[in-house]
Amino acid sequence: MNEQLSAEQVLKEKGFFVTTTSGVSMLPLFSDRRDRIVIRPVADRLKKYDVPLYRRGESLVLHRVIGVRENHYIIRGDNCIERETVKDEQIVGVLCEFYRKDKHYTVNDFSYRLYSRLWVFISPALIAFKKARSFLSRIYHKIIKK
Amino acid sequence: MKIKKGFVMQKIGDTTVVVSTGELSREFHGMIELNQTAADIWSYFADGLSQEEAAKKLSEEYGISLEKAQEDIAKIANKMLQAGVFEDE
Repeated sequence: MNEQLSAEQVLKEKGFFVTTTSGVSMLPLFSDRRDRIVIRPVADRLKKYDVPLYRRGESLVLHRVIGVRENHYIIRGDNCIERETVKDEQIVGVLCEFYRKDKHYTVNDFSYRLYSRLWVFISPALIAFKKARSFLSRIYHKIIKK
Repeated sequence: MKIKKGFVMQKIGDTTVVVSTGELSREFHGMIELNQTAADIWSYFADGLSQEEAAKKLSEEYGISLEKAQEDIAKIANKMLQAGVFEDE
């Protein structure tokens, strides 16, 4: 009960890894320290809309694939502006199920599939809005300071 | 013995695991795997039963002697204690 294994070791040994989400980068899907995710090993290359758990240095990150390239993926958190490049060797596993506010979902559920596709579709507009808001906020604060 | 607030027991296929949520997840990372007996014992403690009451319930539910149940409960409770599952009373 008190063995300390890494996510990679647990996945290899048990075939799944359960953890609680932390941070806000996957809002509105996952809230900080509220929702539980079930990660399983990756059998093949990831597809667009998949949500892999991957290594960024020592950290484990859970973000969404928004583009698949020959040697890497373009990945971005649902609540993030910046995208990043992730290689296959960084991938630890992929999201298969989750408990959001205690309700169970799988990534094959219609509601989740609809959400993921819609969210990726509207994200350029959301990002443009966030950037514009940030720009206007900077200008406003400069004027106020003066 | 009271289990800390924030632990959630989850059934994944045939396996039962416990993970931490909320503020507890800042201090407790990872996942605890439980076999069926350990999962039942966990539930007894989560329901607020004392070690003695849990042993009695385990003895009734599994049809084993009270001594054997006490032994099993003590073993699991000790592991839970080492894993930092219980609140200080």
